[in-house]
Amino acid sequence: MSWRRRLPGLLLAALVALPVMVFIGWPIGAVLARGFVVSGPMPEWRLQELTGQALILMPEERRAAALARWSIPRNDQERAEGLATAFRLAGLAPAWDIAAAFDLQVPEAEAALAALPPDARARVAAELAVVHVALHRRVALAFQVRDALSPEAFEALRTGAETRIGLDHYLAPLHDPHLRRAALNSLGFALSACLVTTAIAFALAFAANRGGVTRPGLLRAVTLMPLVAPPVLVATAAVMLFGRRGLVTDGLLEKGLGLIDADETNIYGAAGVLLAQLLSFVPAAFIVLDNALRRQDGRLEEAAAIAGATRAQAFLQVTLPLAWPGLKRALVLVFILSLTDFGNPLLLAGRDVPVIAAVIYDEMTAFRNTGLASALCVLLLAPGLLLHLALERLGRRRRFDTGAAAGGPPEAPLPRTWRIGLGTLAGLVGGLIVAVYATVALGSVTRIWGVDWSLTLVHFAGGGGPYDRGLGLVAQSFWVAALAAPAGGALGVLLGFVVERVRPPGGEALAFLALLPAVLPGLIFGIGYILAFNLPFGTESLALTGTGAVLVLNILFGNMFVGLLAARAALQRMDPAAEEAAEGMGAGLLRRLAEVTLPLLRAALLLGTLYVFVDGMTTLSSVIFLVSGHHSLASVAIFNEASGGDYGAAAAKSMAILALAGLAMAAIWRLDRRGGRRLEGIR
Amino acid sequence: MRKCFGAAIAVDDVSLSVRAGEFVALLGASGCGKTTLLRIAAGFTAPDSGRVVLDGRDATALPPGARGMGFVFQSYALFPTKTAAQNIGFPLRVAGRGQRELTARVAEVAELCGIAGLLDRYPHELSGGQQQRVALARAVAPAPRLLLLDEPLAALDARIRQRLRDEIRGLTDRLGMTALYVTHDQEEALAIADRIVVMRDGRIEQQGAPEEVYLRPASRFVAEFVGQATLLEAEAAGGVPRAEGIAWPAEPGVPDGHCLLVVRPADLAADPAGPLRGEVESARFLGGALRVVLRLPSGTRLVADLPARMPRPAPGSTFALRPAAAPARLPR
Repeated sequence: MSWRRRLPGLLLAALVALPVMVFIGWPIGAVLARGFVVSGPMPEWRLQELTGQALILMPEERRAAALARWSIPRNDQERAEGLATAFRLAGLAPAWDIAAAFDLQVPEAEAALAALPPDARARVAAELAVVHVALHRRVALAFQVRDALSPEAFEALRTGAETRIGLDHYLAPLHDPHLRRAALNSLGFALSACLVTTAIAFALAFAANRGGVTRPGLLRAVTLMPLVAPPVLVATAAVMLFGRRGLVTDGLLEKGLGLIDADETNIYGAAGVLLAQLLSFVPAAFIVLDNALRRQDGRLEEAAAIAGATRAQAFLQVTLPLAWPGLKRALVLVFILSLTDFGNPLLLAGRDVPVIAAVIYDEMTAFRNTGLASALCVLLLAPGLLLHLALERLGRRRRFDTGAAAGGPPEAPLPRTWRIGLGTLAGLVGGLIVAVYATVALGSVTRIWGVDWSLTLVHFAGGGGPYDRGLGLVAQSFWVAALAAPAGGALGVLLGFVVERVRPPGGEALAFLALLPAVLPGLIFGIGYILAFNLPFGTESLALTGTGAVLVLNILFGNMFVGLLAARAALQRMDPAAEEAAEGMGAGLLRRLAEVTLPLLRAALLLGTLYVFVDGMTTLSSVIFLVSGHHSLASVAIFNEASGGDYGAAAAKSMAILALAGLAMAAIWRLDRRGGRRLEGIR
Repeated sequence: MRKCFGAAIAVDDVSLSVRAGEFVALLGASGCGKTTLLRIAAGFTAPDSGRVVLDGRDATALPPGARGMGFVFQSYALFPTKTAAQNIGFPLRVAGRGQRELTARVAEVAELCGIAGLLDRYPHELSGGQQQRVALARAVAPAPRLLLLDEPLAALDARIRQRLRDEIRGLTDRLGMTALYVTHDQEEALAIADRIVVMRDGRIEQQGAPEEVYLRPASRFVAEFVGQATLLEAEAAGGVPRAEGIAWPAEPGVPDGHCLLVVRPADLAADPAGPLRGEVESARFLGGALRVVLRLPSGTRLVADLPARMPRPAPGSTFALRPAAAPARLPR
């Protein structure tokens, strides 16, 4: 009878599993697959091979005649190209300048051929006849053998282009110098960002937990502020302060003090990108490290102190080794965040310092080269994974228990020099973060930043008409996020219930699938939606791209993992006995869910909903490919306006988004407090 | 000595001195300031006023590491990333001792603490009792002048608690070490200490040898906190205190007037003809004794420990007791 008892649960599981597989599994799978699909002109050897095969299909006597006719070049261009190709196919480099005018190339090419040793000359000559057909007479050949070919083979021979499975996109960074440069830049940024950001975040977390600052609560609040920042807020503010028309560089240092030329000395370049990434990613690293240090038992440091260790010895030998697991997580986290960040590099370094994430953005938006973009997305995962594995190896020798007894921090104050150093650092980082927000606030009411400093509210105009500054997009963003949020929160919680309590076969795999958007770069999830839902099953009426629905779905499924994680954590802490008791009293699955379990998951539901909403208002990377003329989002508009130098409009929308996100957080907080439970950690 | 946390006074005008080689227990309920006093001695907490004097020298401003003390924490506070040997050797290493001396000393104290075979283990691979032995070895490894122990046995279960209690006392005796031991367990304090300091609300209520604190409590609080006791209102006249209608034995020199008698369970004996007659409320076999709770007609409950082998009286039956020893007296 057990299957009958389990049937309602399994039905619910199937109901939840279907959308997760369609809207998470399919798009991600599509990206993985698309990277292997190569379409475009065939390589020379392939063209040669196909031409050879087609020639064999011709009747013997016609082939000989055709070959004799076709293998004579009609002009210098054909002759020069043919020779160069034949050299390459024979495994030789053409020994003349193949960029010169064709009439100049021909004699040089003939001379180079004559100068070859006899056997090499024979190899080139052997290729030459078919080369001329392959390069210049292929269309004629195709029509000659048309009847013997499948329509696809005919098409491939005629156009010289094909779609095939290959590693070309994955191998592209190896021989494309531009991609290679971008890859090295990406790695350089990611490594420096993760080292610097983690070090600073660790110092801040240490200061907050060990009395390095007098107001740890304030430090936490300010450090975590950028978590709800609209996209590229930091980069926009950096340009507004330190750019060519920046308030500090142009306004103060050049015009005011005459110290520098702001066109020459400004934030643009690698250092600017690094600073923007540092401020953008410090909150994420801080959360991890703050948590790690807060859980450390302060008694350990006291034990070291009474054993005679100095503060530095206690720090290096006790505090730091214990924080190592947290440090590892922070390093990998920031590394991945930096690797997949395209907003900061594009705004602050432009195309002069290419990075892979920005190349992906360009390949998608400018060249529609989804194959290369998909492959690069997948390649982008590798360094983070390698770093993770390397760090795991490094620390694997000892598995120890970091969750010490709740001991509270040690009472003894830090040495004065430590407090001064930590306080200065905290002030500097906090000051920069506050400056970012103040700059954007100021920019939203300044007529033209850097030119006309008069105050105005024009950037907040909306509602169509000639003076519309596009604030209506914030309303669109709001509706998209507001539609996605409750659904995403509920679906996450429901999935958590299914995995923890129904335990269907494959439940863990389903949960893993739902977590993927959290660990994969947002770029992948956006590109996946294009690949999967542009023309599903080749049916146009099923297409989702270009609709508002695709935005809602993308945001919903990209962030439902928060509700899932919160619900799972809550259910794992909770004894299933209450549900079993209800079942024993004859309550069916839905009644148990509604009356026993869900009320206990209220906090998880609220947190999941809030997260989807805030991320929906601020996310850029996954939706930037999905917006269309009719359905756009404020975050994408902010990015475009900031790139185009329209800081007033970008700042006004940023302020509107901040206000809405703040309101949502306050509303959820109120709801949660009325429920009598505290929301644990927003994000 | 005085220490406040915000508006709460943790230690209020306390003065305590410990002789070399003495084992002193600080006893009190949680929140009485005993741990704060210990942490002031260690240097973890700075006193608001008062001084810490070590061997005649003012140590109030000395950092913890410079005081030459060992500290054993309730939560053990072993370094999770270090093995037992590395934990024990830590104070020697930061003091710059040579590797050979360090290894020898670690082996020596590990032997003393009964953990010689566990030196390669990490703390999470040890049981609670073993972890506390490592913590003890770490504290005594540099041969400190004073060993401070903050409820070291509170997290362990009863059997190990008793065994380790005796071992700690044996260790300090063998090493000739002075010790200050914080506990809330009066039985533990009685069993381990040369001197007990009973604390209440940040003040010292009484201090003295275990017998003295138990048999001659200075206050009603001490009488009730240390050991089981029945307090009886008494009226003394002519050197004889009278309570519950009978005359109680007393040492000479009882002043006339009101007093309180502190009747310990062992001060009573079973006697069919005894003057204290009442109804048996409960009779429980404790292994070493038979504990009888007797309700007198006045409503007073007397608790008596009787020989374990005597037949257990049925609850509700009538039973009689007599005073067998002179109970302690508290002036009213």
